[in-house]
Amino acid sequence: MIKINWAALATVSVVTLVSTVLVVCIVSLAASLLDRGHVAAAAGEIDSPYHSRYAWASFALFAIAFGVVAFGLYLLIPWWH
Amino acid sequence: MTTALIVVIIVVTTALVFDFTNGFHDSANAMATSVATGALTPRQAVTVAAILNVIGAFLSTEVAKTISSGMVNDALITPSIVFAGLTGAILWNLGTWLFGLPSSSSHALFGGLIGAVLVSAGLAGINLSVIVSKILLPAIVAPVVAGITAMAATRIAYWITDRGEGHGYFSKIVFKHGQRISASMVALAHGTSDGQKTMGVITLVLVSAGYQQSGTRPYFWVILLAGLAIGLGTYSGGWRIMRTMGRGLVDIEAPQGFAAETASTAAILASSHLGFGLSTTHVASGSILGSGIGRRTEVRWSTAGRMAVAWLLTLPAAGIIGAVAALLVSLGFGGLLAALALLTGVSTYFFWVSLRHRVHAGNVNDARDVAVLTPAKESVNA
Repeated sequence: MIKINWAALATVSVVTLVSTVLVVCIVSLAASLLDRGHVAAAAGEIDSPYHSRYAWASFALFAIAFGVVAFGLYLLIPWWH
Repeated sequence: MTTALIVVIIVVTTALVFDFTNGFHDSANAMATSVATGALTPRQAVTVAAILNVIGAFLSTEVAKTISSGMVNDALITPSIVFAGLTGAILWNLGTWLFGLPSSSSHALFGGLIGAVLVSAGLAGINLSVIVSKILLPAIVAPVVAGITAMAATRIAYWITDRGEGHGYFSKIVFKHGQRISASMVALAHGTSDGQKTMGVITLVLVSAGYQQSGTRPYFWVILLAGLAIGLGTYSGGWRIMRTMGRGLVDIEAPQGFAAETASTAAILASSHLGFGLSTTHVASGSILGSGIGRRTEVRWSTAGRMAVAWLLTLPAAGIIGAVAALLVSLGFGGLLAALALLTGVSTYFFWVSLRHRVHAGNVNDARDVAVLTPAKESVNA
């Protein structure tokens, strides 16, 4: 009798899809915000793209993305759990 | 020195050679997209991947304890059978490398072992249920899941960044850095999983020959040598496969590469954590293909088709070679030496053929295809 763990298969598929889309969304949004800051600085609306609300918002998003990466490292390294 | 010890030394050395081929065969899984987009130079990519593979090999020894994962009856395995299995795996790895085809090194190892055990112990020695649930099904599911995920992620990445007004000035920088991080994660995960397989093989040989107690952790020298072998293999590049994955399937841009590598990382981490083994090669190939579909760029289905055929053939082909080698080693020490001579001869021949159309760090991105049989003067690689 062949036993297949369909639940594990489904979990891997859903976790892969959700976590990838989440990380890519966060990083893409952060990149897009930095681009907007760049345009605003070029238009003279702000002094620098690095010291604007766009930059702060994107840095916050990067921090979240790094948190997800750190969680991935935590899962990868068995000594930590 | 006894014959038994000589056999153990031969098998351990062969296991390390397999580990080396595993490294250069799979270095593209992590680094092909980064090399293709220029996020990393070829030499930087393989150096980072090699270091992370070595580190990864030291992070865990859990997989090493259950090398065959129940696919074959471990109690029936002798050093000679392991050698026969390794022969099948090495020759299949080298053959697919010659043609630039990414195929699973783990499946090659399992195929070789299954073939060798079938000849030595018959059908009773293998567990069909485990083969279906842990090899065949994941081989189909892994690229599909990774491909769909990478396709969705790529589409979202372009949708979000194309709506911005910055003409992508920062986007390009962000995605290139993101690619470096996600590719590094894949390399680390690869070292953790595949580095351990060779540790497991060597430990199995030492236990079966009476040099180590059953159920104990691999010796430090085994972990060190296995880590170094896969690291050196990774550093050597496997440029033929890197070309196929980086240029042969689809043309890759940085956001696409980032989405593909993130999908690969997520799939590998989720599957290892939940105890459902997916092939790194299948995941990475599926992701790259999916990212191409997601960007609506040209997908070279002929190359994808050749890869799929190689995946289908991996288990039976490595198994047949492993079975032939098992027949030879069953003749005794002389048979083992004959199998060793066969392995060395065919490996040297593959390497010699590869020299006609060398692919290296300097020309890996110069063409899409890996030439093998065409005359050297018609090569597009130079």
